[in-house]
Amino acid sequence: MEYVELHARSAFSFLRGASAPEDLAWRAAELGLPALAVLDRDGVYGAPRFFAAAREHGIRPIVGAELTMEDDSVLPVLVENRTGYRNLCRLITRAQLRGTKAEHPVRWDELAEFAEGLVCLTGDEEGPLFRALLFDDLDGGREVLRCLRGIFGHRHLFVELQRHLWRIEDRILAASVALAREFGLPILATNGVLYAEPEGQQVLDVLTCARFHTPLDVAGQLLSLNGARCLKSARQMQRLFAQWPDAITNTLRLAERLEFSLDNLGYEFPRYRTPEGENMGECLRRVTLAGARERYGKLTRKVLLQLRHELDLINKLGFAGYFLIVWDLVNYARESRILVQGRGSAANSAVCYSLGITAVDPVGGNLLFERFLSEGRKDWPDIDLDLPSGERREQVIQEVYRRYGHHGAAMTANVITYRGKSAMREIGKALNLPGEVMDRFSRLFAGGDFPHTLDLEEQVAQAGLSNGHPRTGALLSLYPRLYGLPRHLGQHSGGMIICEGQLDSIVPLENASMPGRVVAQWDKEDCADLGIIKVDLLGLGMMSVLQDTVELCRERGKPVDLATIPKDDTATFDAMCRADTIGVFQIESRAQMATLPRMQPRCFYDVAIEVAIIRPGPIQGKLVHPYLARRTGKEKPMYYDERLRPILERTLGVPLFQEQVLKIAMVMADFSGDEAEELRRAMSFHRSPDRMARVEAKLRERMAERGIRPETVDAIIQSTKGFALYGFPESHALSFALLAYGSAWLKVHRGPEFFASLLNNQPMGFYSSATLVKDARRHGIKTRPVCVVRSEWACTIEASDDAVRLGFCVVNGLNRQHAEILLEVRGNQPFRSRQDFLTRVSLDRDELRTLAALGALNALGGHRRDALWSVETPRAEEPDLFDQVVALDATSSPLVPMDADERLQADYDGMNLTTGPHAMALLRPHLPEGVWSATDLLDAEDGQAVRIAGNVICRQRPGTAKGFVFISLEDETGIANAIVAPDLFEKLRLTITQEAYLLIEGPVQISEGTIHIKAEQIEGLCHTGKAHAESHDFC
Amino acid sequence: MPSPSSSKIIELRELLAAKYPAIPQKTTGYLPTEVAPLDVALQGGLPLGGMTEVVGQAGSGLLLATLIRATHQRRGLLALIDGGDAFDIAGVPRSALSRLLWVRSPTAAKTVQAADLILRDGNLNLVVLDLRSVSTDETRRISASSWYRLQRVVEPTTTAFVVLTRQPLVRGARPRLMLTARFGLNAFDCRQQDLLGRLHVELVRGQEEHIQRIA
Amino acid sequence: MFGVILLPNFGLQTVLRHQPEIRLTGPVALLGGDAGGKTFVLQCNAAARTAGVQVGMTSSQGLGRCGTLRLLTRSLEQETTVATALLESAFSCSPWVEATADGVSTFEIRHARSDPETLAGILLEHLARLDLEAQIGFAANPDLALLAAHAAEPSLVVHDARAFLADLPVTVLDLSPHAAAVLQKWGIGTLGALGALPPQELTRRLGSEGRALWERASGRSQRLLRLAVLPVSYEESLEFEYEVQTLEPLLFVLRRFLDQLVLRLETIYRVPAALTLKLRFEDSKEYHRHFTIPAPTNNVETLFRVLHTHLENFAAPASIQSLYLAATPAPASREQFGLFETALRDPNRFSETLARLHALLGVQGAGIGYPEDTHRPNAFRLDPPDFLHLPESGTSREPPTFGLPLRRLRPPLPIYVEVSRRTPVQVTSGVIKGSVRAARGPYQLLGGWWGTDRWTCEEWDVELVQGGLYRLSRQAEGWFLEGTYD
Repeated sequence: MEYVELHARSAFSFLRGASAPEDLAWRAAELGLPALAVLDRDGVYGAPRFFAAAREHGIRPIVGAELTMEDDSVLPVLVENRTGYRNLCRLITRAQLRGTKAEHPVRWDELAEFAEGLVCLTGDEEGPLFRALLFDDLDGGREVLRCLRGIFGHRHLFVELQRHLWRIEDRILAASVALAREFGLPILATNGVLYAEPEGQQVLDVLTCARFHTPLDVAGQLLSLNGARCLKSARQMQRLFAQWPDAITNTLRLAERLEFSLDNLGYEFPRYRTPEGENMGECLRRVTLAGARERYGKLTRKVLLQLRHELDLINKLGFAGYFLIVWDLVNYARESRILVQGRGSAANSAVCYSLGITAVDPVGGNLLFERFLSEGRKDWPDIDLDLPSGERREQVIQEVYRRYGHHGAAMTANVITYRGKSAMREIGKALNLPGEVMDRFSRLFAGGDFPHTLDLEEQVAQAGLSNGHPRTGALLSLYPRLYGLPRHLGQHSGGMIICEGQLDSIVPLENASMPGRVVAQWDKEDCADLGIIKVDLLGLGMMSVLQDTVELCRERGKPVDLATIPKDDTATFDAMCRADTIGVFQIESRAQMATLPRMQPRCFYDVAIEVAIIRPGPIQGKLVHPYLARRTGKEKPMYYDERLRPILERTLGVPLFQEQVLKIAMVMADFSGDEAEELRRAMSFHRSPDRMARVEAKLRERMAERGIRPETVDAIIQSTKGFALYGFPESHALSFALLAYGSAWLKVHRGPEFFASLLNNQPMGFYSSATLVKDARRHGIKTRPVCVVRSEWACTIEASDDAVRLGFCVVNGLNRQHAEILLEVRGNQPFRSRQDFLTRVSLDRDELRTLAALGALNALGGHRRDALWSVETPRAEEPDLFDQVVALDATSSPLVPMDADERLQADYDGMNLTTGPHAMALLRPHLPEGVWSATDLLDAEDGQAVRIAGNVICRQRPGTAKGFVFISLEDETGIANAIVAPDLFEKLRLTITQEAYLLIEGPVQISEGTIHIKAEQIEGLCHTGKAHAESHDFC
Repeated sequence: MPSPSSSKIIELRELLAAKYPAIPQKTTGYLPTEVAPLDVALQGGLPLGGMTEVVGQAGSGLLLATLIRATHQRRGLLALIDGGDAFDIAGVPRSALSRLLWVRSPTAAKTVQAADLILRDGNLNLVVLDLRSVSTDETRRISASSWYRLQRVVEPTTTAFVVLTRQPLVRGARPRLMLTARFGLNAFDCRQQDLLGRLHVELVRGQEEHIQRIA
Repeated sequence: MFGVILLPNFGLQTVLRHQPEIRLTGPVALLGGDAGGKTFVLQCNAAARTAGVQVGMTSSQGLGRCGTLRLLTRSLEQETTVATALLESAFSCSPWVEATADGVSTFEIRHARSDPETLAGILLEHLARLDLEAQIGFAANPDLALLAAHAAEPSLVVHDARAFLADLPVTVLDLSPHAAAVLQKWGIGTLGALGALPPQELTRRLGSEGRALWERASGRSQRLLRLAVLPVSYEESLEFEYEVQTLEPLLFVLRRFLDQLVLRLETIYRVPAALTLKLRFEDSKEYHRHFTIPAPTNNVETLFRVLHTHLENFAAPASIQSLYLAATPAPASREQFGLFETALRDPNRFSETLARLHALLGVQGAGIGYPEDTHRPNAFRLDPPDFLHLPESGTSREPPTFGLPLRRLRPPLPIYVEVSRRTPVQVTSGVIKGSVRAARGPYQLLGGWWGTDRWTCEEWDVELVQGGLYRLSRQAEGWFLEGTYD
């Protein structure tokens, strides 16, 4: 006899279930259950993963959901067929969009409308039947059954029986069975599964604590009674329900009826509305060729052949509509004067270039890869659109909603899972561990997206929880079990899915926390798995900077077209070779700047490699050094196999791009297009390591079969595995390189406009405004302070000498609307005096104080303190009444002018940067003897012992650098870099991470154009009242 | 709304009064127990200012739970002097607990002392002395004079005093009831109220004797 | 002449008072928290300052500067105690005393008994005995005296106000955050600079605070003290001339105390709602007991009975040296009735009975049993009954109670159970013995899995062939008889 579990909740019921759907599928298979139904609370969040996992483990997946009703009871429903699925999605969407993020109950009176194709169970202890029977209210129970039978019909209602070995349930079971017999309804045994294995009960208890914001110690009866709600075998279930064998057999009968599968969702990508008499294929061909003529001028045979090849493939696979719709969106952005650039797997095509979706010519650059890997591909090509971040991107998103309707488009979800810090915080709260311990634990994590190396027990011990602590055991066992479970649903930064017809019958939609946005219940990987197409609309700060710079240049009569700037500009490459790249896209990071002098980029493709090479993936795969060594001629290019030469030649035998890795798999392991696609998906980093392990095994096996030597196999696998974490496709590298090159070119040739735009788009990038201003000064670009007579809201360029005039946007706490009013008042009539300004402008007192302290009123006479004296006078005074006083105010005050230190402090207080001298210039006279400036270091000899001092602008501790920490110190002459060994870092951890100014001593190390101090001694510079810029830390 | 059982009792009482006009109405009154067979046997309920012994192996726990619930419903107060520290609070509704003073006594001697204190206090409507979990050896050691003293203490008050025992024990208990019942596991499928009908009550020493003694 | 006693680093001092081992050694900082839950250094000692620790730093920054920094948190209880002690010290000099701020007390001397320097010496010595470090200033007006106290090392008498003030930092004034920010922006760092500003202009800009600050900065402020009173309590105490070993003399004194207290309270139309009794023994140990009077009354007899009942069952560990009794006043009791339902005819009598029961059986011997919030069987707590404030009955819906109540064995009795097909079939123990006719179960429970108090149990209900219903449990140690259903 067999049994099917028809009521299980996964961790995608967010804090109401303790096992991932994958684990439920695995366990069900292990127990020999032929099928399993996962019913998550108010959604089908986990369904795609559950389907994939169930398929893999050879069990049949059944989908359903638990619905929260308006009276707080919970009703489980199972999907019978596609109609049922569509109804379920629409029902949930209706409730979700009507409610709030926290509460979105289904109304009893709307159930009937969506009941077709759904099978209703009476539920567990939260179900309406149990609730009535708990109070021995048989009539109430009858009423529930009558009502449900009325809605779902006799064939679609089952009286659910659960036995969890609770004292109370014997009576309720007996009453339920009696009622079922009375109504002639079938009974159905389920275990109301909340976790795969009994131990999951502890995880569930922790999640319950998170849900009720209470520690375990006082959670009391909120916690589980026992561990009975795990998946059970047919035998176990039969034993529990020996009294009612039909409850078990009915599970099989019902399961047979539930034929729905996610394979056949009925999803269709929206059709592009073509002109009369033209199908989408013809339309795409027409617009592509028209675009190509514009792009290429004359169409060579090579271009034409490529276009024809691509268009044929696109049409054959039915993707024409997709390209047209993306083209249409790009056109919308263009027409709205929004800078847009495409990338992604499909973006490297001549079609995309011709359509203006991308800016890199794949034919001319000879950069073409076969990206439509196989004709057998089921899922959609991938095009991401980079847009300027902020309002301009939001405008495009809202346009998509406008075009496809709120039930036709949605953002993809982003499942927030328990990671190191969040998992520990949740467990710590539940176990009531001291906050200090949790804080210390969190601080011990490596920063950024670098892998974490400290092992858990060690980390817990270092956080101050001894082995003997009574709760250490529980913590250590809970952590790995909670790790990776979903915590809540967020929205993906830019992924949108759209649908022909109604998206809400494909996947339930809900409100995002951001108003005006609707989110689907699945993330982008799930959508991709199910063949739902997405368009990524990503916001990039640098896109905003580029667009702003171009506009500034146009306004100033020095127009620039990014598409046509020379790609071989010597001055631009010179700047890169010097690592003079602060503010430049991607290649401004500490690690990038350390590589540039060794890399010596001299052409556009070099920039693409530079962008791709300083990534954790290649670093992980130990590929950086071989590439640079080969590039500088210290090592000869080597190909694992002669067959790989054409693939790896351009990167000197070192696979740097995802495409190369895939191609290697195809050539060496004879992977089909589908298999290569499987590899690519496995390499996308947030997927499980299992997936990668399986593909790796396959890769090894195939290569071995083909007689490739084990060392070669190992070398290839090694280089492949790095990408599993952080692969970088060549198409992305090229797109990013375009932005990097463009921004570098603008920095060199349109410096003032570029810096002004950078400042206007802060915060972004690696460096603070303060550092940017200092960098501009080193490039001969002056920055002028904020001024109520001259400044606009944004930073502007002064016509006279190309100096950057700071805008009001850099002033802390200055309300934009207030500033606009100021500008309007000034536009009507310029300010005559400080008193005139104070009388006509209505800013808050704090805003006035800040402006006065920054010297923004100095243009109206007097010094900063005079202005500060004036702004404190009460506003409503009539000038004519106090003429004398006013006269006094306008000219002077009894206050002493600020000295340089005070001005610096005021600048940092008011706008986190200074246009005046660097803090270190003021500090230098107070420094101990023999401290070198950053520029002095250029004259230092290798190994010479020096001391440097400065404002910490960057601390980095890449997980790949074996615990070494990189610190950048800025002084009035430039930036000096230091390396701290792990043991020294551990010793001085808090000094290094907490002090704004550091004094570092050690020998100079010079290699291949880079200069570092190897820190041997570090101390904080204690100097009271010192202003400092924020450091960007990655410790 | 009067429960069906209590209206039945009133009917019964009227019937009895008509049938035996010789028996005078008790002046100090009764405390109805809501346990129909018991109230019938006692002709209305537990005598106020009197000591009732209920002897029983099975059913007296149910009686105790019912007394606690009934006291709660009447918004009265009850003290349970729990001779063997055997009372389980899970057996009565949670809301009824706030009106139950639970006195946990380890020895028979202290049990009697505690009863004495509480009866003298006179604040409580019902005092139950539960000796069922006290060993027979120990209960025998309670002197006859102790019982008489308790009886004297309770007499001037309006408190109903019930002693639960397994064997007849209290000398001079005004009414003494023998409680018998047989329950199987299926009892757990029934509400406590519905189980009361299964109690069998026999009055061993009744009102007459008591009335005589007062006279 | 005005004097100010200042306890520098008030919060830190109060915490360290009872931890001399920390006080004498290394760097220490007191942490405070803001609304957002971030902690920062509120105060620190000289050793910490030397190491670079500054007020306002986060604890991590502090530890970064000084690895050996001890971090402490405030003790509000201690602060209250010390504040009282400070006030008492000031009252020892003068009846005109002001509780100026945390750790600051100002007093006025109208008829000098001794010169300020001597007075300062006495005060410092007194406070040192209380383990408090103080600075004392004397000057012609209260504010100036406060400034003097700030500058004192450890005492200072100001004769030339102008010279004294010139170089003092403005932070010694009790500046509002607003004024502090403005002065800082203006670059006004000293009282000399502040005093040099034109007063009307200052007033225009900073309002009345500006005027007041200017006056204080130029040593001209005059103000009246907000006179403080020592906290009044209704209390009586007696140091016995001879040590008391029996109850009678104690009761005699207590009755007199009660008479006195009731009398004093009656003058303000109050009655005692609670009594606090303190006894000190010859071994200088103390005994404290707080009595709540259920129905507040001025009946001395009733109040006395409360004390009497308690003391009757009280065994003094040593002979009694002193006696203290305090009463907490409440409005007369009539109005307390009627608001709540009470089923007690004589609440005070009941309270006495309860005290006697507790004396007889211990505090866990009588009370209201409530289930603990846990799934663990037989977990309850015993609360003191509050029959004066009974909850409204019948508000929340409660599931009906099913089956027979359990008569428990405390502790449960080990029992031998024979199991067949996972079900008990035969039980044997000293109490019961027989074959199982029917059994229900198992009912499984577990909890406390996250700590040392981990428990699991499995319960069964069995009916024996010869009759009788029992609850069995199987635990790690074996089978137990939990009780009888009857």
